[in-house]
Amino acid sequence: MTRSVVRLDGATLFELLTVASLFLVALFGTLIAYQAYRGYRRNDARSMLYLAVGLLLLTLCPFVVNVAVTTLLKPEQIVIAFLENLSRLFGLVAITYSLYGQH
Amino acid sequence: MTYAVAADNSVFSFREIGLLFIGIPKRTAIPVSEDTDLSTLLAVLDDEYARDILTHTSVEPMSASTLSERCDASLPTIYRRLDRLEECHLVTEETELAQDGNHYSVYRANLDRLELSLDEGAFSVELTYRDEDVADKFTRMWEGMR
Repeated sequence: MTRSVVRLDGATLFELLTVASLFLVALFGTLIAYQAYRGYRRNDARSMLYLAVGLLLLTLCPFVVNVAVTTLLKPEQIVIAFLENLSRLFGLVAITYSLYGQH
Repeated sequence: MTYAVAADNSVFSFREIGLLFIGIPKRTAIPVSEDTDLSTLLAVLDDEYARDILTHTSVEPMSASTLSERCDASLPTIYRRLDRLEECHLVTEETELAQDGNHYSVYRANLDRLELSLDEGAFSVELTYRDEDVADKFTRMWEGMR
């Protein structure tokens, strides 16, 4: 069973850059999701709530899932990729619902 | 702590759309003719209660009932003025959550400057609105896309 797990103390430059860029994705995504959530609270617009949830599932969640699952369970990489994409899929579904749903 | 490096992280587009929203300039000057004409605007402002509402809500956002007290006017009077002010985008309405869990509206003055100039044969009016919160602008644009 091959697994390409990066330990932060013995990582190559590109592995670190990848982790850093994913972290930045999570950071910016969370920032925009936060503004969307404030928009929901201030304007009572439910579509902004779904947008906020969608953005979190799209950006923050894959990062958290990756770190958590890799640290705790150490599964195969394909499993993590699947979980990440599942989270992104739900995120896009939430944003689609935010745009087209009746609420 | 360990981290698996996944090969693909291709979903970036929504983050970039979001950044566009955040990068929007803060003050917006809109030629009045677009959705409010000069006579409507002057008629709205030619009203003591309407001007009172603007001065009070320019200090802090207020609910209609607070405005009713401060301006010494009945609630229907306040709502009528608020409607007219909102049509000209001179005040903005925001929803706040009360401690008992109910929602209520507060109003905030949105007028920054009104510039009337007479230039060879024509008046031109330019309204400058106040800073709008990013979250509100984001909401307005997203709702506009729906």
